[in-house]
Amino acid sequence: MIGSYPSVVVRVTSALLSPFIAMFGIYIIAHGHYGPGGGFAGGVFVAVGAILPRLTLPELLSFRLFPPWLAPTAGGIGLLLFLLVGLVPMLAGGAFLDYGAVEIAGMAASRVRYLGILIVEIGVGLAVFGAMLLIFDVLTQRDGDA
Amino acid sequence: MIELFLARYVYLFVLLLLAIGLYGVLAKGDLVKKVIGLTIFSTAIYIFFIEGSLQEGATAPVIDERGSDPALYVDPLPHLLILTAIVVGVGVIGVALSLLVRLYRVHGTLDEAVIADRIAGREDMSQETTPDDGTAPSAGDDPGAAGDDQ
Amino acid sequence: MIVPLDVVVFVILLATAVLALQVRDLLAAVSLLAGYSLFVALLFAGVAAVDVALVEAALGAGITGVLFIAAILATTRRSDARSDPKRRLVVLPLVAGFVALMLYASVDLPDRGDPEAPAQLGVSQVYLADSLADTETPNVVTSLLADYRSLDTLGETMVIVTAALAAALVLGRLGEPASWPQPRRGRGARTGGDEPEEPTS
Repeated sequence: MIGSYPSVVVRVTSALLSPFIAMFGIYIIAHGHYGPGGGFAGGVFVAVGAILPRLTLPELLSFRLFPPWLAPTAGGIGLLLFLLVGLVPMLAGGAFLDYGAVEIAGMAASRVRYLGILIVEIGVGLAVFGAMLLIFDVLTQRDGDA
Repeated sequence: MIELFLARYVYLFVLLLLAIGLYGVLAKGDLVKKVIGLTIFSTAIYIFFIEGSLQEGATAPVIDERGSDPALYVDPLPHLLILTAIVVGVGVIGVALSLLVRLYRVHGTLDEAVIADRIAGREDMSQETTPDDGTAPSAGDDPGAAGDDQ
Repeated sequence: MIVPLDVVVFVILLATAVLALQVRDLLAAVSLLAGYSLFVALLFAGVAAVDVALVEAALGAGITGVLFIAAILATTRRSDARSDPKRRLVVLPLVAGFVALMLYASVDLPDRGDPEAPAQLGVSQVYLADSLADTETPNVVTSLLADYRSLDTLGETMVIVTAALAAALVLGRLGEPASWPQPRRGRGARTGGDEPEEPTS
């Protein structure tokens, strides 16, 4: 929410680039099983995709791309997702966060753990995205008190 | 001598970085510079951990077609610990910076000594017992500045 | 781990660290700090810590710099703190003592890259051997992060979200519900327009 940058080149470039950076972040979250990446790095990339328009575009546009209520909402949903995934194995008789205890028909225990890792990574990514965007929004808001 | 350097140089450089960071946190009067020193200090600790995970002849801990022999891959546990530590470090920086912005809105400066003087001068005029903890050693020994501020 | 490259990167790290602390202009200091983090990421990539390098490049060099610049824009750009010679007299012996203590402690540390180091012989052997069979995940750092040690990660995630909420509370944003959920002074930008009341400002 810094405001509109004077150069049109910068504005257009950042508006075009921002969705692709966010998409790259989602790719990093999804690709964490097979290479470097995972929820933490991917969430940060999505947050960068949201911060870039806030740095260069007018407030109206950047808030339409990534509205400010998204940040605390995503953080809360991500943390809740992580916690709920941890609780599901307890219903199946296992320990907290022990995904292998859940029995899904036609799936080996290792496959269930694979899926559990994916869901946890998505939760972590959402939480990190929300936290980073919220910190940035809070630091750059203009009409503070005092 | 060369052998010793090759086996130990990481510790030497990490130690120097730690010293620079510690000096920045303790000696700098500007609060943003203090946070920068904190970042340098914590990053030096990250480097220490990650260099400790290194093994001769090992590659990144992604299991490939060579199989699951642990000797082929570097130790992944420090990677995990530092990965989360980096993210938490950024959270710490975010909270520190928001506190800085708040302090600046109230006091109009980021000079630690001025802020400490002002807080001490407001709470008790004798200035002998500052409510601050040990981070502000110059709060009590500079009565002139507090007098100017009030 | 190419030793000459590592030494060069370490020298650059020392230079950027000293400059970031000494330079008067805070924006320049933050730029130097971002460069410092980028070289740290290069160092991590050099010792096969690819996950950490990615996170350090994204967070240390990216988000940290942005947050610092945002804070500087909200405060001041000049670093004009009074130099306090008395404090330096106290701090320099303290730092020297710290260095001496750490040098003494580092005598017992293992050599670089020693496969027989105590830290290499612990539980991570099991993780490396079992990860693929247990979780079908080739990247051991990911399976450690989200499966073997996910309780640890849960704690870290809580810390992150709590830190963000703490920052929001310190700057008094969550206390103003009227101006919080919608963008201020934007009539067309109310994408989340499920609240009926108008913002007060």
